Amino acid sequence: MTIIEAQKQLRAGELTAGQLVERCLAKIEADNPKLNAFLEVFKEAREQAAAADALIKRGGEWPPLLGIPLAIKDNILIEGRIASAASRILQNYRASYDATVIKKLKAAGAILLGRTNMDEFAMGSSTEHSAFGPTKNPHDPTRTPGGSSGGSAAAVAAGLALGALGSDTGGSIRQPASFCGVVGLKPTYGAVSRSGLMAMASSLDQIGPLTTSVADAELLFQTIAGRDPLDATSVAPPAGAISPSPEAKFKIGVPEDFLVGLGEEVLINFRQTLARLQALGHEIQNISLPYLKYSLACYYIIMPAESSTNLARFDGVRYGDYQAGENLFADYAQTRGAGFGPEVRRRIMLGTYVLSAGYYDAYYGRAVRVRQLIQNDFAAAFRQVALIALPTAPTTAFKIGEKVSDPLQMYLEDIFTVPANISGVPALSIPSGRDARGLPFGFQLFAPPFGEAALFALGKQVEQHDLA
Amino acid sequence: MIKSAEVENLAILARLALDPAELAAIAKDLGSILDYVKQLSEVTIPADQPEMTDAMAPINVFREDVVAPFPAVSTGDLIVAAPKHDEHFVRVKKIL
Repeated sequence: MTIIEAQKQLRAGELTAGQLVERCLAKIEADNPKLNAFLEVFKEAREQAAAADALIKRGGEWPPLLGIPLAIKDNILIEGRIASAASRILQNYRASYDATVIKKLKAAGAILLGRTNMDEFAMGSSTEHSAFGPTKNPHDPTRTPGGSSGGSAAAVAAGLALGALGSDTGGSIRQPASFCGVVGLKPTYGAVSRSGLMAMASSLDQIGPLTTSVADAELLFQTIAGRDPLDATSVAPPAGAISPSPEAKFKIGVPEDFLVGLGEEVLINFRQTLARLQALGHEIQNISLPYLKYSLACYYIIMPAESSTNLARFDGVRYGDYQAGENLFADYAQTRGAGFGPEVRRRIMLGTYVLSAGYYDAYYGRAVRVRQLIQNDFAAAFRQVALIALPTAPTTAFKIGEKVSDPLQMYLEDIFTVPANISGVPALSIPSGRDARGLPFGFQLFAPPFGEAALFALGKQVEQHDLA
Repeated sequence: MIKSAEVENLAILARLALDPAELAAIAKDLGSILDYVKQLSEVTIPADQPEMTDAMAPINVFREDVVAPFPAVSTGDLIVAAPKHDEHFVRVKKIL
């Protein structure tokens, strides 16, 4: 059931919010033990549903998401609730305020079902780096759901929630959406407030929706987007933007020379989707973004650097777990050594290295400058085409344990998603059929900054004509 | 190749207590990751690119210099979250 279908049934009185939430809670009770999508279920969801039903009965104006049960990634603060970023260091931390996106969802009448599993501090592409066990892919429980928003993607794919929020720094919404066969949006950098999102890489992070339909993603995006005085990097969308018509035809650019290192089936599926779009009247054009191939290298310098800085605050002093040492330095070192998992420790060390004296210019300084060249590439490309297409991930869902011991192999999963974070443009992953094992493919579209409307328009067309 | 002394120093900078086995593993991982990212050194940065020191465009966003209380949170809420605290203070070991 999509959010939009649920809204119709709620309005028609065919369904109550109470029934909708009970269905989700029953499914969670049945399926979550084996999926481990949710770290915690909020029992207050029933009370929220009762309140929603009372409002529905009273009639009149409805907040747009009234009665709709959603799942929230464990790095987004909900006041009074534990938010642990799937880390031991925050396993008992209770948020002291609501993230701005949570305030907006609450004002819209949404019901918050629980917090979902993730790679610890969003560092990973498989949800295997959670301190609380991996999440399983609902399509095949021996496989990962992707990451880092794997819990959110699995929850939506398995029908445990009607939609979810995740965060995307290098593909952490889109890649799990691809692996789980759901829709995932990374908004334009600055479109959605990051206040109350535990910061990973401040110049790359965005919160976004995971849903079963493009229209649902659009609805959630519109609910959570907007300039926020609490986030100085948030921006109001430019005025006067015209939404494309649902039947609009687009010129779609494909960076052919970037289609390397991907699975054969993924490439075939990607070309099939392009062929279908061409048959519908869209124009497919080969484009060249010469610096695009450096996106992953830029990302794996900028992201660890910014993360190492952002995670410096977790030292056992103001919040979180604390391990006593002989002196203050030992307090810090032991608290962090014990509280952070191995992938987090690895990335903090990498970030520390690229920011340290003597290496700063060669690594971070250079990455920042190459980043600008990639941004220029996108800007130039969008003067020729309206949208850019790539597969979301180079593979379908891999087996649990397959890549977890080889960091670089894991990092290469992000090759097609990081360009959106590096350049700040929005990107949408849409389910696009299944492979021979029944595992979902994802088709990815990029638009110019604040071009989400074009993503949704073309996304809906891909959805409607899906042959899966 | 990252030397063990270098990795030990990084762990100090990062405030991470790591055992020797992990330090060695991280040295190896860092080596292979840095091998991958060093491809950026082959990029020629155009001479006309402005000097950049961070990842964001150099536009500052200002607001009025007026105290705007953050209504959702009281100081008390924040203090009780600290692992070591007393009624009005967060407690830390001495620094000097």
